Amino acid sequence: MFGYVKPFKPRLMICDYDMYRGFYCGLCKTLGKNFGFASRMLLSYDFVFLGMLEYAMTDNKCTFENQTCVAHPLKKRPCLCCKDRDMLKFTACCECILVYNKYRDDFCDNKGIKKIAAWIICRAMKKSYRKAYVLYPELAEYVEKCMKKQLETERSGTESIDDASEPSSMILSEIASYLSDDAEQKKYLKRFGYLLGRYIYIADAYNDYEHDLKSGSYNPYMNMDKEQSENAAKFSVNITLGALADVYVHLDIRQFKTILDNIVYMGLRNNFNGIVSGKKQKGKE
Amino acid sequence: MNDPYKILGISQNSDDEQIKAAYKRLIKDDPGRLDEYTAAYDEIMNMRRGGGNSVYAGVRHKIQEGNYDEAEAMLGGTEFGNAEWYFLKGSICYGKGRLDEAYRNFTEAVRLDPSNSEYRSAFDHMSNGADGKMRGNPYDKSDHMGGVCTACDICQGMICLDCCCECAGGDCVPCC
Repeated sequence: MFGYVKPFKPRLMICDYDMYRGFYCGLCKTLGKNFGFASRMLLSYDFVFLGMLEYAMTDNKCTFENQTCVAHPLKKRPCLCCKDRDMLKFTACCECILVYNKYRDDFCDNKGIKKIAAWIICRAMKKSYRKAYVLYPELAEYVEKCMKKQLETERSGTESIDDASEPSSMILSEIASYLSDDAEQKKYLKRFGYLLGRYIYIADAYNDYEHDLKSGSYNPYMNMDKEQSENAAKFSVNITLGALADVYVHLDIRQFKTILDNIVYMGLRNNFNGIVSGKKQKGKE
Repeated sequence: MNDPYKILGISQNSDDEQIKAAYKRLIKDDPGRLDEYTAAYDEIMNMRRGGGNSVYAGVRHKIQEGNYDEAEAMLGGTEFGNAEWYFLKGSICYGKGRLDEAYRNFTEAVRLDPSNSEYRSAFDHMSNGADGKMRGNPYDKSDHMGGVCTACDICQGMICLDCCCECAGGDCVPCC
């Protein structure tokens, strides 16, 4: 479910790229400091986008400095300054809540080695999750509720992508609504979050199509053949991105516009196209 | 109340232009029944715009408020099958983010009533998305509002400048 919201690097300016990496670095360090090592290891690009979007909705200035870290002990890299990291705590909480829930889900669904791996991650994340739960109890409860709903929907074996994607989309919708206090912006953010969640779900479902077919687990495209599933996923992704852009233009983005534009207009589509072409290559081999 | 379509002597499938023409012809031929014709004409137009007392007007109102669940419940109580029903259903789904379902409903609405511009524009908007269009995309070169200056734009600018210079008596590009 993670790693689908990334920038399209070839069209990213170097200064933006540095800033993006600085954010990643700052988020990683925030996680390390507040939520422990495991949460740090499981950080994905999606949360960098969330963190940047949160800052973009405000006028808070961000400064970067070169620092070393555990992963890169020798080379100094640009990193968001400690004093500017307060707001990243929310993103860090979201990361803990979502990652923990995902692996708990995996633990229930899988068998064999994957079950053991999920169990280990769950154990390692439990403490971080508790901490995040204390800070945002309503959000954590909401996510758990949606995960249960997701399970029910999958058990029902629905073929409707609208039904299947709804619970995960609702999670992101709720998270995005935290990013602004303004009632109108909240409304736009909710829709933006919903559609982003929908995109992620569709991309993930299509990505797992072959795997799920083999293992017999649920997938909204399970009753389609290869070509049908590709066309259906492409169509759904395209209309989702179209509607996403419709609401994105209403967001009051005050900084990082070029990076966010890059992710929304190119990164998302490019990521999905990567999945499609990756499958084609695999098919040829 | 009598059927307003019967009063104007037209069928329910006539488009707005035909209704207007029929109404104008009738008040010219029989000015004595002007009030009756006008009432019928207004009623049809209100119904078509979703005004009047119909449930659809209430549904539209709820959609505008963003209250999609209530709108859906109201619409669910009506019998479906006409173009407007599908259009409203599509609008509710679109608002909820159930985009695949929204597209199917808009498609059906346009199929049933191809002349309605409201249904058509909702359908076209989603079709543009399906073709990969994204609103406000700064990277989309086909979108000239994006502010991308190509070699073609420069040539065009030069020709324009030359024309202006020549009009003013000078010459910016001497060869033409």
